[in-house]
Amino acid sequence: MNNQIKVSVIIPVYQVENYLERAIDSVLAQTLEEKEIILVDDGSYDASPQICDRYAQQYPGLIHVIHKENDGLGMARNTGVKAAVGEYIAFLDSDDTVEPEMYEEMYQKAVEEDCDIVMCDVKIIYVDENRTNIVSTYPSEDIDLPDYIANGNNITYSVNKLYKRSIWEENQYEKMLFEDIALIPSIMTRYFNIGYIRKPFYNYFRRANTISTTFVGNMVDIIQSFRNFIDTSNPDYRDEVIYCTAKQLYWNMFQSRVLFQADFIELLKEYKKDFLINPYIAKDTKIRKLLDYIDKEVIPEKFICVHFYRPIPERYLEQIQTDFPNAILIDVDENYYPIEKLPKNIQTALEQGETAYVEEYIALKILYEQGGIVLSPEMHANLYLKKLRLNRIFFGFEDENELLTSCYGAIKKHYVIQALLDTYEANNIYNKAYLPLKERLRDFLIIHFKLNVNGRNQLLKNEIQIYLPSVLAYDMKDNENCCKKSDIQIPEGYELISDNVLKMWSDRLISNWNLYKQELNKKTPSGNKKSPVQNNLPNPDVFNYELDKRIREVMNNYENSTSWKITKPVRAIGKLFGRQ
Amino acid sequence: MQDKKILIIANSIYQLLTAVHMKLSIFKDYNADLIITDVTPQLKECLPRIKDTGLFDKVIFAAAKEINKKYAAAKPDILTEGFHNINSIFRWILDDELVYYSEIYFSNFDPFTRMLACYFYTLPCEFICYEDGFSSYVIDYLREDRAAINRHPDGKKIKDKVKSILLYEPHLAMRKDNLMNRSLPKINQNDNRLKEILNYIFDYKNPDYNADFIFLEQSFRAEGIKTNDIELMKICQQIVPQGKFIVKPHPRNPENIPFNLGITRKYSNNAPWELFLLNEDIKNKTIITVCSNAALTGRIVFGMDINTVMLYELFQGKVLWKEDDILKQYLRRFYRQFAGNNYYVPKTIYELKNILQYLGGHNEQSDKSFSHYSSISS
Repeated sequence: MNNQIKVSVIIPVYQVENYLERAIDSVLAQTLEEKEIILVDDGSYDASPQICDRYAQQYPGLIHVIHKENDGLGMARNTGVKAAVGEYIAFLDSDDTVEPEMYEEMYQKAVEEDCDIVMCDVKIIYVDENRTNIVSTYPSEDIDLPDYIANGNNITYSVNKLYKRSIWEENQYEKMLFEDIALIPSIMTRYFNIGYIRKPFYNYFRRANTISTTFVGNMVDIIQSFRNFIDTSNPDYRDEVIYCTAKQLYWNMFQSRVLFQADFIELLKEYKKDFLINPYIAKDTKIRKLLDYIDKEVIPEKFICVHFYRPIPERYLEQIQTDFPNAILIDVDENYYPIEKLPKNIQTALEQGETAYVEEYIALKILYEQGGIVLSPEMHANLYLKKLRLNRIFFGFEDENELLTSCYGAIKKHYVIQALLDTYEANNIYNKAYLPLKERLRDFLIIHFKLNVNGRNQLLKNEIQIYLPSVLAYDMKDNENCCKKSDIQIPEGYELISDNVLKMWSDRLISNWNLYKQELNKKTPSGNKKSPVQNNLPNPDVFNYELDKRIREVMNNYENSTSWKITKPVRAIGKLFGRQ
Repeated sequence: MQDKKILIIANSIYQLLTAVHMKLSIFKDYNADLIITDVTPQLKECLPRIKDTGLFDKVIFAAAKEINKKYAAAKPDILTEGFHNINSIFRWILDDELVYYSEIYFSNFDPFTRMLACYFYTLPCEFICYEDGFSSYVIDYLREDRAAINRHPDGKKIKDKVKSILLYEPHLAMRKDNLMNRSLPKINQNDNRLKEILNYIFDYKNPDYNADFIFLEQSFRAEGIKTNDIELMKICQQIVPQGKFIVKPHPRNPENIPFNLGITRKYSNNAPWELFLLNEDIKNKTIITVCSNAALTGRIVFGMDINTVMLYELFQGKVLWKEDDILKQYLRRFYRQFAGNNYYVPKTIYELKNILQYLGGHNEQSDKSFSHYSSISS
């Protein structure tokens, strides 16, 4: 009986009650009769398990169901492969569909040409945009493998391919996101009999809020995927593999996953020689842009948490684990450094109970030695902190006057950190009075880098990035906040913001608004015409927060507008001469 | 007494204090005369009391102020005329006769002193400069491009007569002249005899206030220099608890602006600053100044380690010590090598606030910055 199964179609199932039936039906409608469908329910808690069971009952012998605990897509596919008995294996994602002739035509091709793998094209259906796009895998049905690896499409997809089952005796998915990238392109370099049918058999439904379109901490797995691809590929195709990776990297770094740019740069460095000597990259002016980043230093993903005589809060650890799964946590308690190895004055401070002072010194010292991000236990970082790793060194304002020293970062051995450390050896007020680092830091930046104490973003001497309070201290704007204070309990749905920052924020908003209105009035005098702002304002009975939101949008528009920027000097001169 | 005969010239209170100190210490075995001039009007009041002490054989009063004013920036022909008439001038301005002196000690290269150098030019009489504070360490008064009198044949004769300078901190000297820097012993603050004599000479009375933070005003307004010193005073006053802050006005400033603005109480003591340091318990006091030499006196003259906050890094205004590299070097060297543990030069307003708070200023307004550890330690 088993010998009669030509293709086993494996469908991993997880929380897809709205799509699953469509996917299964598309396989049932296949013209190929000698097939089996293996549904691997990966611990779904919606109606998917019941749907699976219903189909299995309805199609005994044709549809098999495996229920297992949730372990991820790759593991579910592996489970399916183990249960499969078909001559060939195919994968179908449970929210996609396949055209009726797909497996029959691909199987015939496989048998006729004794292929290890047969590929087809992919039709991408952009669900929210109501449009489709067919992505051709290769310009010709005769696959030239090196050229395919270097220039082909759809190489990373598991689902547009039919595989000889024996391939899966030698390969399996790893437990990670982007398990496709980690395995499939590598397989393509190691099996030479590859067939190709130039038809878009596979319908890939692309929706918003899928793994392809949202950001989560685990996405950093993509780095390991690329690493796996490079390391496990056939070395005879090294140049092609590197070029293929470079193209994927380019797209990820500059378009789809810019947030992870620092991680991608670290990967570039890891394979620096391969990227630098690659003949394909050398000829590709677009992809060559990657090489500009190869020597860029990024802040290592290390979190330095100094916590003398107090534990690291659970929520802190959970947050790091969730958003920065690959990060190294340098857990520094009071026993981290033997006391006798600390400078004399730091030992004295510790003896006098100046714990916070010593903590700040130790954090600086480790930051200098290893690079990374100092993150106090009272802080709550989020995924967006990743983008700050592109700085060489960064700090943030806590409010208009004070700097924040519970979250800051630097590359290893940064001279500013060294200079700050040196001040701990000097006879100065900061050491005499055991002043907090933020006092020392602010004065240091004023004196040596002309810091403007105004709570605004600044890039000092093209080296030190200083951020607004909303970036590192308080969550006041979506996609801007990277870290916030979390040591005070507040009701759910609220954000903690200090009086000073709130005042600073509203003053700035109002003064910018007034300035904007003045400019607008100059352009449209005596109220003859309604300004575009007035036209767009909501009805008078809208909630205040909606009005505020609207004002912010308008503010963003005009602040970012070229004309506003260009006319800035003119406005400044006008102000100087007392023009209102 | 040995047969060496000494003459000391004092133009200021600081010089008179040093003159008395020298007579009681390094010249205790020599006969000495003292000239006090009217360059500082207060000195004349001290004259009878100086005589009372019997320290000096003669105390001569010299009305040198007008002479100095007339010849300091005079044209060569006027200078020539003046130096030719030295005998007449001396008869006119001195209230007693000069005798022969083996050593003459002076602080200022003013026309009167230069005339003395001409007067004794052919005699084996050495001229020795002694400390007049800040300027003695940094200014080469005899450099020819500095003034016409330095190029005048008689005006520059003093250069031949003076070989050395006595300084409380000779290693602090930054001048580029060829004078040898010699050590002048510091005044021992526990020398009660000296203290009694000085108190008598200057008729010292204890002040009726007890401010812990004393801001020494400088003569910027008298010299027409626009500055931010009043703003700096205000900042200090805001940090220091009420009643603990006082501004000692500079006598040459035409108005007591800090007082008029309500920044300070009235500072009523006219006693020399140095006597204040010598007599009062200054252990817990803090001296604040932009760059007044008086703030350094305690360290230089008495070897005291007084809390001193120098604001010159925060000062805005065109003044010599901001323009002149040697002066800058002097301030740097003093800070690094001589200042001691309680000398502060804040570079930002925030640092100034922290320093004053550390030294005991805890006004409520600025206490916020000390709540810095609250989130961590709680």
